[in-house]
Amino acid sequence: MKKTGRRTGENIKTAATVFLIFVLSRLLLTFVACAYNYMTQGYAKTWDLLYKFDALWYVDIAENGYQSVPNSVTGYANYAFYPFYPIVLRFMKCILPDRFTTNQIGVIVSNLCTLIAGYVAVQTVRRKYAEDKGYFIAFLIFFAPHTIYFSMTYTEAMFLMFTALFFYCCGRKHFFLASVAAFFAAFTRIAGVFLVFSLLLFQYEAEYGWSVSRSKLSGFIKGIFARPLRLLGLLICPLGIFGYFYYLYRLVGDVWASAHIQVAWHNSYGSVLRTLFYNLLDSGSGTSSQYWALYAIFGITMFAYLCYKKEFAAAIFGFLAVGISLRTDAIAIARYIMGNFSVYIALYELLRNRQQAKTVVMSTSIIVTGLMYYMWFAGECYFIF
Amino acid sequence: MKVFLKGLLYVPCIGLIAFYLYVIALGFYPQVSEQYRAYYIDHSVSMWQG
Repeated sequence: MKKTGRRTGENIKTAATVFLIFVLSRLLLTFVACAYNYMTQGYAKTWDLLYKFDALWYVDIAENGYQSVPNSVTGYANYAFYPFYPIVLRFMKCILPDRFTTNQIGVIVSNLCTLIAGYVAVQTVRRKYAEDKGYFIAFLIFFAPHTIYFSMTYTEAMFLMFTALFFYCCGRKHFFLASVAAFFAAFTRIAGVFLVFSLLLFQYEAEYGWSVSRSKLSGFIKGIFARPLRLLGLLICPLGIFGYFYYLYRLVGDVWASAHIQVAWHNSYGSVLRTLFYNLLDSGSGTSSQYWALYAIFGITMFAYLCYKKEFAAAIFGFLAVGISLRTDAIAIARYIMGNFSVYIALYELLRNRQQAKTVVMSTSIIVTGLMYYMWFAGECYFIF
Repeated sequence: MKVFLKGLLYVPCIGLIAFYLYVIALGFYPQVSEQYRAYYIDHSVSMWQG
């Protein structure tokens, strides 16, 4: 009884500290919005300053649903965007007073998801490193460069929350709950479907450690089919996304419409190496492309570091989720990398015992994120897009 | 009873596998216009003329 009470007290303290770091990060956002309004002699509200690019698509889906025919001029269609986040916005719009616009609801939902992700991330690293306080990972989620999307009507925050919950549940060996988190992650962004491979690796590690042999592998596979709950857990991961594919077939007549529509936005390079090569050396987008390619290399290095640390389940999720985007192009890859929970695990592991480096990263993050917010408000944000 | 419940859990598993296979099969037979097929699927034209 006493132990439970102590644990509850500890959890409340953790939640309060994470909340405080979160408030500080949003103070930075509001300060930059004030600075932007001062510089431009404007009076725009922070909600409206954040409302740009993909946020418009999500608001459109939440308010009007999916379109059955692409735009006759641009060839774009809103079914390129996955459904769970707009579903939540629509649901919240129904239960909240009318004075809230869909964009405002999106901002609230995303910030709430970020806060939860920060708390879950701290609890996740504490499970592995009991001696750590773990607040640094929450700091990274709230302040690191390219986390500005977590405060606007974008899916990144929700996706991060579900993937953080997935890793937390796997750390506690609650594999069925982890499957449920993976289901919601995949329903939010297609990259979430790769969590099924991480789940398999977590389950294998729980049974055999990292010792691999043919008999252990066959025993593991037989074990999946012999335990229907485990099999069901694996099978529900992609359910949301397959449900969406079926819906697209009914709406557009094309199961893979959300993938096919990408051609309207940009051409595909067809492989990760080609994408990196052309973006680094020979791309029409100039320095933006080089920045994205270098960011992709940073992400890949982080995932390789996870392999070195024997965090294979996190590494495979990172490689596959970022790899699927890189096969097409490096555009916006920084957003996908910083929206991937594996990167935060890698950064935490890399820096947890390096106090000086940690201080440098923290200071740089605050400055760069402040600058990125300003650039976003100004609309001069092509390279952070 | 326990064996029966365990067996019962295979039913949704089979249902999910059947659903996934059905959706994948539908992916081979898109019901779309010629323009859509040419631009989005075959990439035989470079401009969308919807």
